[in-house]
Amino acid sequence: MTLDQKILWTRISLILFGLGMWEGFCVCGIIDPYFFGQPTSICQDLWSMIIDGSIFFHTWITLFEAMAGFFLGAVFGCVAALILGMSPFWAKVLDPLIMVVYGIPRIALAPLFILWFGLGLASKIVFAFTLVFFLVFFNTFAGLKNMNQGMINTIRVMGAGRRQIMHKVILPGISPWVMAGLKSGMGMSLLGALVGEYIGGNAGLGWMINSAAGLFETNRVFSAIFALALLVMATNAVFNKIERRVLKWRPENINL
Amino acid sequence: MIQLDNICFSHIANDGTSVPTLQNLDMHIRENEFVSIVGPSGCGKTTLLEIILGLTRQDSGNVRINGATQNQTFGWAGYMSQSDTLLPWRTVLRNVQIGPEIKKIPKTEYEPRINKLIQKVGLTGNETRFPSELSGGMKKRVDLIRTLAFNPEVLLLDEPFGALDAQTRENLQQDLLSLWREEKKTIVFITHDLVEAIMMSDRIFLMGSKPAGIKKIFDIQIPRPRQYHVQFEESFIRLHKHIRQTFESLSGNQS
Repeated sequence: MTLDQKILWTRISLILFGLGMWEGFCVCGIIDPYFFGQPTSICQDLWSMIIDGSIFFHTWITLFEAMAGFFLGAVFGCVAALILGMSPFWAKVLDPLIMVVYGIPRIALAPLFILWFGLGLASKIVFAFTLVFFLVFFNTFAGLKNMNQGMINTIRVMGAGRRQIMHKVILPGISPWVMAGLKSGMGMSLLGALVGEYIGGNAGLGWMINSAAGLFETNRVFSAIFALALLVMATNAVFNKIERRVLKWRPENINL
Repeated sequence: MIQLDNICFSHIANDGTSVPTLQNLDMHIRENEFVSIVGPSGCGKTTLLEIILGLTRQDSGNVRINGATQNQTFGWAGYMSQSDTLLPWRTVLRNVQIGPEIKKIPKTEYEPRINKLIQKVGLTGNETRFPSELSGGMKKRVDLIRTLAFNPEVLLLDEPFGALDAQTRENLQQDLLSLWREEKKTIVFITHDLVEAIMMSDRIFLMGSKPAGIKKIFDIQIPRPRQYHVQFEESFIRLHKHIRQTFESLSGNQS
């Protein structure tokens, strides 16, 4: 057995052991499945939602809201940072305003977004957007502030214009920073979509968790959490793949 | 080729006061000449180079390149700064290509030239590696041929071999000398190493500090090509001593 296989099997055994303990406690009556759920019942519930397709529908809703908010936040965050990075005047003018807006706990704004954009997808997308925007914005801006002046100078001396410097030096140079912003933005966009659904919605995993908890359907809550965990794993895997491709020039192992 | 008249420059210190860095500096560099600028650290050598390049604007005085006033015109010189400025996301080959790419020279035209340069400095086989995978000496080699790849008339090199071990340094010096012989460029070379300056240059400009200007110019008439062992010959040692003494009497502190 190779080390990788060993790791995999140990991992699977650990998970099975945990689930077994949970199931055992329920069967022996040590914990009450009504409040704590029970693995076999959760499986049954999940299976029923796979059969009628409802789990896919709600997962898709949440994913769609998160991704839409993510892309809007990423694009606007990046562009805003580039514009302010290039114009110190506007950066100075807007700096306190940005900090004030950033300082407002966004969750306090969520009810407003529901009022303005309704119970449907739009309010969740806007909410996810406000979370992602600032993350990407601050990261990109920090990346610009950390650009190597010498690098820009050598290329400028070769006769590069503003556009060429932007394309060939600045954009690739800030890419690790932008990627770091996008990575945390990704998690935040899901959180935004979820919280939006909690506060007011009629579909999605957040809505499912909230409404099931209200009815004491603990197993349903766990089903939704399970779907959510899979969703997070999948989006992270996709993102890591993209990140490795984009940043393949970075030395991989850094010993701390 | 490069003509500096009466250059003055002050930089603004952190506390807001203006500190004169260069004062009434005159300098004339001829075509195809290899000159070194030597001076104590912090005397404004890098600032001088940046003024020639058009990256920094002088307070007064005139810079002329081939008779034309330097007014932030770029693209005529290759510049190698003290620090590592290779683009880490580009491979060796793509780093060297950046100059021709910016000048929009067609690939068919620059490719043979670049291949020749890569071979010349012994980087063949490393074309697809990233800078993070190279040793310090290799990085400097890539940087050196990157400044040459787009065939500029002038090279301005700011302590290019400063942080290298003696062996690598000598190899790179010889590489640079043979490239210069073949390519016929004007080279302005900043260093604080007198032996290096004498080894490489046609003329040495000695800068003093506070405020800095060109204090003395030395003609180096040691015949070329100069090999490494030239520095052990008596004429070389005498010249070295002479320049060293002038240098120390100027900087004041006998170290």
